[in-house]
Amino acid sequence: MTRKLRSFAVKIAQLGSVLLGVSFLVYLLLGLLPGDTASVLVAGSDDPSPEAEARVRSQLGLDEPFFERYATWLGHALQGDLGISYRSKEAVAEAIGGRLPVTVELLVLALALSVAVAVPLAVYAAHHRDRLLDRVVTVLTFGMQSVPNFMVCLVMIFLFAVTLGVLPAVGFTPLSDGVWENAQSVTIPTIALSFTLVPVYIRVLRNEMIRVLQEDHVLVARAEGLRSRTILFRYALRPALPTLVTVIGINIGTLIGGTLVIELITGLPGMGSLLFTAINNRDYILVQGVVLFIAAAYVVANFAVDFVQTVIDPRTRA
Amino acid sequence: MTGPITATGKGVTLNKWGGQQLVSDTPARGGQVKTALTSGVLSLDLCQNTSFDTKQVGLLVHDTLMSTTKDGSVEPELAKSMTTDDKGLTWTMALPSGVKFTDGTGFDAAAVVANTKRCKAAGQSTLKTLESVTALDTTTVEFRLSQPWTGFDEIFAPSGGSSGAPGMIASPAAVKKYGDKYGLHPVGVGPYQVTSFRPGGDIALKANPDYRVEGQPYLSSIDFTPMTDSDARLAAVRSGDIDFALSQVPTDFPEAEKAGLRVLRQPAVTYYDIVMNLSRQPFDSPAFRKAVTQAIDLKSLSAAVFQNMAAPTSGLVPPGSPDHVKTGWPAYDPKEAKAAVAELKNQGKRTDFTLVSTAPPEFQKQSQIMQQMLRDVGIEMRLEVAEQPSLISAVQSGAFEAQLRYTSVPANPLQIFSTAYGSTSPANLTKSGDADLDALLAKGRTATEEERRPILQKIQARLTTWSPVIPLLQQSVAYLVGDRVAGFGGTIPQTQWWDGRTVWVRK
Repeated sequence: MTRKLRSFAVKIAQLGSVLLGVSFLVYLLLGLLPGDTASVLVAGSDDPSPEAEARVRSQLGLDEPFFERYATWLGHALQGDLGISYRSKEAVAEAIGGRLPVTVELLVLALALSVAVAVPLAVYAAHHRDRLLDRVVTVLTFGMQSVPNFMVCLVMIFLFAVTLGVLPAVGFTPLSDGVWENAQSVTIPTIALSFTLVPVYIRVLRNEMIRVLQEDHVLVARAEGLRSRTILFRYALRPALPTLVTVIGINIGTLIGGTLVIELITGLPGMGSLLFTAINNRDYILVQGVVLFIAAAYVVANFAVDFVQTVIDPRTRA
Repeated sequence: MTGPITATGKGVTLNKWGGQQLVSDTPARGGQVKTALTSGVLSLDLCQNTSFDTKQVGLLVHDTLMSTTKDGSVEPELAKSMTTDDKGLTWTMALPSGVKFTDGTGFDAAAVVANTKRCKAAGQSTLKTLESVTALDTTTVEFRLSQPWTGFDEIFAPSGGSSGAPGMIASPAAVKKYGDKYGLHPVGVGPYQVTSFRPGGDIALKANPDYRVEGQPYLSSIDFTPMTDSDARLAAVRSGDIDFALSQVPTDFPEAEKAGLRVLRQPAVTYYDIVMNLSRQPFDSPAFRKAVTQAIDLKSLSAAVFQNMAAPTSGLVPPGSPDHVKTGWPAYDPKEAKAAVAELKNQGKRTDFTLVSTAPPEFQKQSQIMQQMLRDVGIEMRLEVAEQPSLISAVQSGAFEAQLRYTSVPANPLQIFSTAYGSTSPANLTKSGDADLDALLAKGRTATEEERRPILQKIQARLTTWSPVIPLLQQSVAYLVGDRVAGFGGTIPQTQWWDGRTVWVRK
């Protein structure tokens, strides 16, 4: 028990140091962008004079030393205060809180759909390795991977919204306004996002399954006359899953900010479109907060995956 | 398609400033429309944020004190009058009585004074010369300027200079209540009021039942969804998810018409141009600027990029504007351009440069075609793509050679020319100035209505000689309107914003 606790404490310490490094990099990189924050903020404004620039610099505390500013910002961030958007005057944490549910819903649905499609196809392809259907699945995955998800999204909008009129082309209906309406509004973006995830999951799981199916314990199971279904799902799938879980974990982090293009096309008010709007409006404080949040989500998701790994794969337990 | 806008099709007529409007039924009250924003709106505080979509929604919520006519003259809208007796040093604005903000408080002179002071404190450049603003009584406001300016009234109209925000009055009670966060809870006297607003996301408006114009607005509510992608906007109108959307992609117009949408074309107030950094080589040479102008075949450019649907310009005031005059703007002449470039090369001067622009396809296509045209006369133009924030920053700081952009030049562009080309203006991207032009612009500030046009003609001639930018093609603008909409009044004169009071839907 003590050993487990120690291991947990070490991982938490590692997580903390990675997050600290991430926060420093986010702060530093945005500070290194061409033209300092104040000049960029006033550049496109109605009054791009040096006086206006000086006023903004003072308002944002940019005339203070870098490390002093970073320490203040970090201190506030640790208390959940990511600052106030320069343009909207809304608290950045509040802005993120308003967008996160949309992105999380989209992410959960896209991952669930991808896993639901990919796992049976991967298991089937691995079981029938090098046969016709395995080759069909392989060709299909290559084909799907070569089509960008925004193209899938536009084609689906044309087909299901413009031509058939069965799904909305744009917009988001919250769950509180009706489950059916909500499901309709996220169908196209969910499928579009899954389109690029499914082939990755199929290829990862199929290859892993093929490897596991050649291991001794599977041969023993076969020799004992166990049913094919039992061998596939109990003795092959479970040991093959950790690799897939790792890939899904990486996807969770990247998808939090990576749904940007799909959100823009379908008018979904998620994290991606918030980041886009913030960049477009040169709202550096908002950009800083959103990027920090996405980076932190990525790190935490991977940390969580490490723990899930230890549950589903005893070999990884310390 | 590049010809004059005419009344075409069932129910489509021309509105008072020459744009197409739809009147296919008798106006009916009630009903909702859904439409698109071209980008996310972060704040509806017009003193702080004057982006295109902020102003579109802001106008519906706040209304405007003044407006601009087809010929560019300014007339009262919400205000009753605005006059000056001393050639623009002191202005008196008369306001109507009995108008209320949607929070129930009264709209009066004190509200206009408070809003003007707030916008000035926020650094609005058009208020720089404002010395004082005073409420003489509840319906009269006096503005005193540090120097005469006969065009001052235009800053209270949507087309006014760079913002028009001082004409959109915020409720002082709401400003007091929400402070810095007023932009999240805007309150005005406009035809609509905000019911929900998530910065960067959807915006919902409902009709103001006490709107000052009897019987308007017709709609009971409007929902806005941000859609930055023009293809997605077109698809959304076609599928009926939204009722209408702005399009600046003329090649979409035939497709929209084929799909049964009404394409309501609006007069262009914007054109693409190349702004050059005149403070450094090679654009410090007027001969080089002229050679670049003469090397670009605008008709071919329009044909290749916009299927002939973007009209070529000639001079800094586009043809079609009431102020446009022929100034001898250099026409396409590759032979002369080639000879000039050869001469510059003989003198050891630079004949190459980098053109920077943002990523949209119409910008990239224009850049690539111009690159070939310039290469044909011996000019090497390198292309660079930049994100808008870094591009603005680079151009503002002078770290650029030439930029492809689009710019708005409505009728009566004195204020815009002062901001863009005045040698002391911080927004002058050419990083240079012209003493003769400065003198004419200063004269224009104090010109009477009768004197204004001849001065503008001289300004155009001077701009042609100085050539700080190279105007290219006019943007074609249209609203793509779906089936449900029975009435759509087109855009507010000299702008691209639609008038929310004139829209109604089929019951």
